[in-house]
Amino acid sequence: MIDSAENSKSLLQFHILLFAGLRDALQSDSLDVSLQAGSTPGPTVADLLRECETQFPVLRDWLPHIRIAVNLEYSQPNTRLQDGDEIAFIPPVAGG
Amino acid sequence: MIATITAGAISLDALADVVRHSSAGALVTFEGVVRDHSRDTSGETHAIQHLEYEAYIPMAEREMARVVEEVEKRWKVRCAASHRVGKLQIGDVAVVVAVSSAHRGDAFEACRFAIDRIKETVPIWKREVATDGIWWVENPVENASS
Repeated sequence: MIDSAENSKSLLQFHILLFAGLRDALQSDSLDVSLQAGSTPGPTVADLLRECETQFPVLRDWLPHIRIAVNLEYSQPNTRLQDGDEIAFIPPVAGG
Repeated sequence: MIATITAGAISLDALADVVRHSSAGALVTFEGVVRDHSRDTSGETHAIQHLEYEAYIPMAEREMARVVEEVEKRWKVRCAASHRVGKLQIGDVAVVVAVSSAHRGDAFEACRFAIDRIKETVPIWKREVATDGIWWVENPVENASS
């Protein structure tokens, strides 16, 4: 039996895709970040960004300019995340 | 409705044929073409050698489809769009939008809206390879490096 206290300590894993100039800046095409599951409802996009900024300080200059996609949709800071969601950091787009 | 991201050349005729139909009296197409120069945010002009387009493909296809569907609904037109990725030379076609409608007003308006929206929301990026450097366009942090 797993009690709720133990549950709350579990980690949620997020795989974050990077593109274009942001990928060059971080010299990687993805980041793996984990967050404490905490209590329900789960963490938000804003929570994830705070954790990313702590782990990767170079992101600080980028975060005001990028949009965050969750499972192929643009998200809001209060969008809730679930374990295994596909996250992407979308720097300013330049199609056309 | 067609919205695609492709590594190969885009056929304007093929895309126009997707929207062509017997009650459409107007067919407007837009081609975005790789230019031989670009101007940076400081107003300086650079000679372009080629461009490299990159996309977050599954999301880009979804966002393109969303734009096309929005246009079709709002103007009651037929719309198709395709964007190319990879290395493009000067004169190559990077994006095509085709819109058909009963009368020309709606087709022009809808086509203009579609290409503007595609440029705003679809996760596609381009790197300019110029004679004096290489940089990602609209990169907010480092706009020019050698």
